[in-house]
Amino acid sequence: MRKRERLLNLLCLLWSSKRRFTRDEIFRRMAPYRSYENSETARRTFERDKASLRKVGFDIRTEQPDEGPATYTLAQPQDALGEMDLSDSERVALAVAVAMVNLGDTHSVDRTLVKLGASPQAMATVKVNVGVLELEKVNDLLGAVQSRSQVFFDYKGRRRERVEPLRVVNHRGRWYLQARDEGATKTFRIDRLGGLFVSPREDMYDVMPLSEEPSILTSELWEIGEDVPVETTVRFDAGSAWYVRPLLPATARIDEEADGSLTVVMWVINRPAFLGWLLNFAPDGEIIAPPSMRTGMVEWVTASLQGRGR
Amino acid sequence: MSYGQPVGNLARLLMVVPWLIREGEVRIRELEHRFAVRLDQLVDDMEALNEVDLFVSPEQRFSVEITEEYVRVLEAPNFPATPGFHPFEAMACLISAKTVLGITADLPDLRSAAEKLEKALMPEDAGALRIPAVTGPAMVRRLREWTIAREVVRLRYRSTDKGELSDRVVEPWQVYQWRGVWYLWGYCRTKKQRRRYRVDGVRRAASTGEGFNLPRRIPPPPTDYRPGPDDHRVVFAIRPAGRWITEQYPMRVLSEDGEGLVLAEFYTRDPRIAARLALRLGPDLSIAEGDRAKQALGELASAVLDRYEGPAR
Repeated sequence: MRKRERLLNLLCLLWSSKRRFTRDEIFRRMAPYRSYENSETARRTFERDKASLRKVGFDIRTEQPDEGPATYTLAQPQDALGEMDLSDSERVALAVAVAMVNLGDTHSVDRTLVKLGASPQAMATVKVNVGVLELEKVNDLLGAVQSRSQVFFDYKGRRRERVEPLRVVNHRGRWYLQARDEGATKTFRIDRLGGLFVSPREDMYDVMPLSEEPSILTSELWEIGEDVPVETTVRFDAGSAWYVRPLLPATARIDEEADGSLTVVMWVINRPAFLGWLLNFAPDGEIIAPPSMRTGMVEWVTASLQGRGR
Repeated sequence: MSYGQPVGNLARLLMVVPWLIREGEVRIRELEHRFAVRLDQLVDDMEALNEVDLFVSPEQRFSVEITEEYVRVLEAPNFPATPGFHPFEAMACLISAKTVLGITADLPDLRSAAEKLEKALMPEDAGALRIPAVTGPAMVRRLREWTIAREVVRLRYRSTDKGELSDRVVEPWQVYQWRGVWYLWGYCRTKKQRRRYRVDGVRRAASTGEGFNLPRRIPPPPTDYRPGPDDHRVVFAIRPAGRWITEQYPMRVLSEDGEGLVLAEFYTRDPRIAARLALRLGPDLSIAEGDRAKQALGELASAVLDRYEGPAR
């Protein structure tokens, strides 16, 4: 008997009865396990089979009593989607989405597709990676937003207390928590949060109006910071305009000259971030104004050269 | 985890059978569309069920009639019900739905599913989960169309790291987004290798009109870099302000001193790639080892400084 048929038999046995089975009882009822001459091989096969069924979504629970052998049963988890009255076409649409979006290894695509009951072919042509999703943390944080509960966590070497979560944001493949901490709205990388604790007390704060976009969604790195903004003009030659243009921020003012070159005006707050971004295009792109930014670029590049031998 | 492939045999069977039992009779085409299952796989699956002796009893038979047009269930046993969703899995569905809606908004079934999920999972504050649109440039849509149609494409491509233009003939397998950047993944006939291309580096693209066969299993696109035997080894000295680069690029941290200065090893096919990184990080990064990279940095830096000699042009 092939593995798939053996797995189905095991599943049917556990599913068809509400009672718990010991391993010996399962082996007595299932010839494939008895067919192994070596009982250790049979045991290992059984362990692998349980793991395979768990992988496709069946929750096989093990209970080890104080005395006697362990018993196994098939649990039926509470259905978080069951009460949402999803139509069949909505489930298929969700299956396409689940198959398209890579949430990292902590999330089993196969298991979710089995539960949705569809595995459409179209999923192979487009993939979106939203970074490794730490589902448990994200779930806790979103739960905290719902109940307006303060959270506590370790971040960059110190304990943050009574932080008020506002949003969970995905930006360029990373997950962030936007929250109010010590009176200011801050952004924390979720993968760096340690020792997360959600206070059981609810309704402890108000969230910001939803129309207020978190800056991380709308700004480039050089547009964020506490320095004085500097209006900066950059020119890109006609030869580079085609690939530069789609990469320019939405906030930039762009003029296309008669020769096809681009004159781009941007507000710069974080100068190092801006110079680093502009040098992605090097040697294309030249700061035209103000002179202080031109000088800044020369100093930056010269520093790179001086560092060659360090 | 499988990557962009139909699910495994057991998973497929566990999806198909309950659905078949529920529907009674379905067209083969619909089966193919919904489960990416071929007729021969379906026959194999149904035969597998005959070997499941725990529910095939005189009272519980499973028999189906399969033609090239349809599948009809003649007798069906009680079949294990698919377990329900854990809240975490429901959340994963919602995140996936919102991400895809950010690419293509015009999907009414997905939108209504997402609204239902959002209402159930986050009744107090639906805006608590933000996934901004990742709509790619128009080129993403065109490449995706050729990928679906399995048409070979000719690209005029600018390498982002080296800044060089070249022509490539590519069998497009997949368009994907990683860390906010869209890529085309496929087999490059010009280089005779699997290659990925940043979509924002594609200057021109056109179908050659020729078809190609998709591999049975599309290998996952690389998300890390594996050095080749001819790669250049570069060691960067990175100051704390530039430490982020070690997470953004495939580097191995060799050491870190008490002041946070990190030495990190970086392998690259082209030393100009290391040079550009050094230039971008300015005073926060220097090349500690790698003569070719130092030379390339000198050339690139000179080209930039030339532009800044004298008044702005």
